[in-house]
Amino acid sequence: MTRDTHRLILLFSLLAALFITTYASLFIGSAKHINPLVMEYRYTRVIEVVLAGLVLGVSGAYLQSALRNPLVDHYILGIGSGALFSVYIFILFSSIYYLILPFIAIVGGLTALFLTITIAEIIGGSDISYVLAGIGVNSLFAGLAHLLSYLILVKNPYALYLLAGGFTLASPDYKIPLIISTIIVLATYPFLAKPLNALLLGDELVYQIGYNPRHYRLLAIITAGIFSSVIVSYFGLIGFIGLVSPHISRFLLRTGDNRFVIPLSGIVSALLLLITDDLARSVFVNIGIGEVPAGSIVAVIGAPFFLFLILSRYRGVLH
Amino acid sequence: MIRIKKLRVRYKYVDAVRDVTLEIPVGKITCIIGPNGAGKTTLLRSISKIVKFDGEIYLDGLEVSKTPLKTISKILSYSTSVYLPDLLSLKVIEVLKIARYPVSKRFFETKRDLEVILRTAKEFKIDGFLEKKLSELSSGELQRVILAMSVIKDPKYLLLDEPDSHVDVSNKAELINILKKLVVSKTIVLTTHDVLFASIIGDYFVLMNNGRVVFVGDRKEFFENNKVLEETYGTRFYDVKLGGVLVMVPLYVLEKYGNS
Repeated sequence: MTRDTHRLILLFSLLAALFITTYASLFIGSAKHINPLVMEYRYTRVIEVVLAGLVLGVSGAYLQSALRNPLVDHYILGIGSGALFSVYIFILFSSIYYLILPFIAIVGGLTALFLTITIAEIIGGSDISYVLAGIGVNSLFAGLAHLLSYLILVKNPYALYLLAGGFTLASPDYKIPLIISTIIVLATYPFLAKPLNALLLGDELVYQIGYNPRHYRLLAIITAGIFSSVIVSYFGLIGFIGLVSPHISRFLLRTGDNRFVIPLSGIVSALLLLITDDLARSVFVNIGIGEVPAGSIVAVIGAPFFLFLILSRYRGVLH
Repeated sequence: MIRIKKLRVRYKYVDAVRDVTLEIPVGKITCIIGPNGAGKTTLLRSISKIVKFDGEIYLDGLEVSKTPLKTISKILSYSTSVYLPDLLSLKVIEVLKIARYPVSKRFFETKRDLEVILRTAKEFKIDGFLEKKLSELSSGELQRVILAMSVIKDPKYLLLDEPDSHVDVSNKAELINILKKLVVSKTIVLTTHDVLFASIIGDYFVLMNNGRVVFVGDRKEFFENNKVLEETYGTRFYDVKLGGVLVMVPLYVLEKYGNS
């Protein structure tokens, strides 16, 4: 059908835009005699921003479809702060953490996710109950992480960067784990796209499409939970990007069909994060403020969008 | 043919369905009737492998509990009302595509899939609003979309859970026409609260009460045995001939005012 062809064209144009922006982020504004070390750092950072963006965007689309809830992402469900809290605990009590840090984050992230889902289901399971349960769990772990941050200051001051979330800490060590994470997340897409579409219809009908809803929901949620926790362990709390990207994608595509929404959400998220990080890295530095965390810029743009979503969703209901 | 042997379904500590043995004939409209909580929906859900059950159910000789969902989803459709959150709401065309997944072989729909979708949409008179969101449809429109979804994969069996709920009187007539047309090529099993509606379209009747089947029979037997119907519902029923068709009318109105 021609509509689907249009959607594919849109998908590939935004992919091209991502490549162009990546190229521009690497080379625009660099003097000829740039220090090779700076160039190498910039290269690492830009690649890692794109990979993190892909993972967070796809995870957001997974979470929203699997939970049939337009208001969630890894941040709102508490995965982010859960992961951050466990990372902080670990840093406090151990000194060798480079390799296992992501795994520690996964434990914390999935624990928080499990808590949020359990509470949300107990209080009714509606989309708003997920947000409310998420707020509770999120505040708890974020509060704990803030408390711990004072103790951590002595041990590893860099860990403080994780609170606001940003890519200043980009390191060549992260590249391989991030590439592996991205590949795994993208590899689940062909298996999950159609079942996630079916999940939107509600469990009873999913059986009739030939899928067991529980298996696919679990697979999608766990995938999103695991790999967004990995991102948190490296770059900290980057909220709202996983929430906004699927919505932008649905708006641009004029469809909720996950076969298009999931990949586009990954691309949109990577593109947005990259632009945000470019701003954080260059613009604010040039006007003399110094580098600001990309996570805060995303939150400043993302939070109003989230409020807008809630307003447009409930304007008719809550008079 | 659907054969059910000693079916039992437990929800927590209660048996929703127990000791049900029954055969549902092919090429007919079978109406499952009974009061609220009788186990009608659970029976349909067991046949569709949505709930776990004890006992045996055979679909054309395939034992349901041992047959993968993928296979079952090709030969039967179970349909019930759909609720979709606004912001994620799918368009009519999209849900029709999803309903076609069990028989669609590629990742994206083939030309043939799209042809079938459009043809079915025309048949059910929903082709005028394919780009509308499900949440924007009237209940009559939504009911037609749900029926179209259930036939779009061309299954042999259609299991419809209360297809007449939320349907007003004018759309009920339309629904009866659609079902009569469908039963030419398919086997339909439906549940309903409305005995009058069932008696208009049913070829075969299953009456349930408290999780058990209390009566099974064709039209003739159904009208001969209105005693068991009256006992089950605690209401009197009269068979009335309307336009040459015998129908069953509950007399709850008369009873209420007649006694006082």
